Amino acid sequence: MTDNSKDQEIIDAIRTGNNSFVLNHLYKIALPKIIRLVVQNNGDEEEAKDVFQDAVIALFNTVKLNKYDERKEIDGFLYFVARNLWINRIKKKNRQQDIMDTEIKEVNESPLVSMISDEKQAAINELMNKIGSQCRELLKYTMHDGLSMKEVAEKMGFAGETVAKSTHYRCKQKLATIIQGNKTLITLFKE
Amino acid sequence: MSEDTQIWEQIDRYLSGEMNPTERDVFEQAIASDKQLTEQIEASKIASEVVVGFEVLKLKAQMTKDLAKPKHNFGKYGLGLLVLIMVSGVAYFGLNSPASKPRSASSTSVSLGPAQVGTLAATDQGTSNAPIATPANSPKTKEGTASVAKELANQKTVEEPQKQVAVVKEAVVIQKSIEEPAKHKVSTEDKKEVSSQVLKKVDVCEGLSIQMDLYTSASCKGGHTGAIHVKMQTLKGGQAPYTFSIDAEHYTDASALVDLEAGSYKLFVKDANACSLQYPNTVVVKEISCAEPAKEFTYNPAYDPAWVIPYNTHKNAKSVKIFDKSGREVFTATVHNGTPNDWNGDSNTGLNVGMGNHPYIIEYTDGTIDKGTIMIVR
Repeated sequence: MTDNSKDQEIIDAIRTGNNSFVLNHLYKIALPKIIRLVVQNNGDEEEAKDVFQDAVIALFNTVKLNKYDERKEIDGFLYFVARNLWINRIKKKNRQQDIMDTEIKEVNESPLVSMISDEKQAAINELMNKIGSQCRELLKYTMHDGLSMKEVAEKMGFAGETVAKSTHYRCKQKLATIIQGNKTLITLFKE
Repeated sequence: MSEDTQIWEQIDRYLSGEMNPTERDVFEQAIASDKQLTEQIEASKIASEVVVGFEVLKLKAQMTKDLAKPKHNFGKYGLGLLVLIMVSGVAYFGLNSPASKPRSASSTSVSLGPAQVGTLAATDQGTSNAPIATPANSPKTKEGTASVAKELANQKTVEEPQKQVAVVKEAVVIQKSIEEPAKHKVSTEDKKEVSSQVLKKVDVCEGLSIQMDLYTSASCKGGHTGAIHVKMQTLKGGQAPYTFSIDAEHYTDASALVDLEAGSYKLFVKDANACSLQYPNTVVVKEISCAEPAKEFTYNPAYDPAWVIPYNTHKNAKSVKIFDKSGREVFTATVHNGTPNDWNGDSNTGLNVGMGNHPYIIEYTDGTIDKGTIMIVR
């Protein structure tokens, strides 16, 4: 039932940044299942969309950080993450009810993969604001888009790879040093 | 490149596995003796998460835009009501005293929820069976809704009987208790008869039906922790404010009936005119076992950054301890308000905990403990 080549196509598209292709596919394939899950478990469609969005963010994040296990079905991954998110939200709202365990495939592993909590989100925005726009742009190219130093140099108008590289490490140092000096933040991300 | 930034390049190469074995050995020895280096590695990992997270989060705006469906709620409930008014309102409302305002035939209005969606899909796309707006068809769906409303109004007489069947799950209808259950499945013809009866009586409660959605919270085994919740925003029919009861004697205006033990309940609702209706179905408050949450877990740190510690959310966890096979504590944490809520597989000294079964103990402020094992696979 897995369409491995489709999954691979999606993963590749996430890596290369073809986001609308990925999203449109997920709206069709994963969203209806997540809506059903949430709606059948005391949620409404808006809540389902919220959970879906967080799950998609987790998927992108996990893939981009090279933590995604490609043997996993994307569909299953999103369903797991969504299900856990939804259970947590229900717990938070103190509406404890039995979430139906029927449709679960591989129950052994916790799907809470590279989730971005609200606290993390706030910390991320704050940090990225502190490093300045040049570093922000450069680190996006190097660490998110995975461009080579040569490509970065072209995009940023640097004289060459060496400049790109040294600027990259200066930016990285800047960011990492701010992080190092903030214990609360480290705990937040280590959790 | 300066001495200073070089270390970050080395860390990058180490983390991405680009170092050859010799280099890696040297570097790992350096890590072992250099606390600052360990911290720098940690910070470097977090930096990646920050940069990637920053970009990835931008997708949210995109998705919110794609999935926006402004009139959704109106579509689901409001439209149903609107059509109801169009169909039976004229025949029905006008004939009653203004004070009673019975939202008649609410079973009809309820049926429109799913029916509308179904018909919508059929007219609009033919295939979609869930009310999702993809970016391409979102505006179209809205147009569709309006026309479907009219269409439905016309079709209703014919199609209603089948649709009633699908209804019951979606939202629940309360019929006045003195009415026969068969009134649940009135066809439009039946309704006309009902309305003529209403004409003769001056009872404000006659013909009244109230609809609402409910959900229940399970009760801990042997405890009184269950509840029946009414989704207040789904209440239709009758006059607000409403009160609720499980014994038809003691009514509460809260939206939840709480402190219930597991079991079956009757639910009564009363509106401002003191019209009391019984919920047609028995409401079941399930029982869950609160004392013994799942006990055996598996966790792969290579795949997941953290294992969510299975606290019993009904109690206040005080501490969590994880042991290795030989019974030594590898991880201890004091718990405040459920934090830390997960464990990343590292011991208190920052080392990776080995594979295999690790017993854990969660201690609660009430002196009770939960025990279990977490099996680490890598």
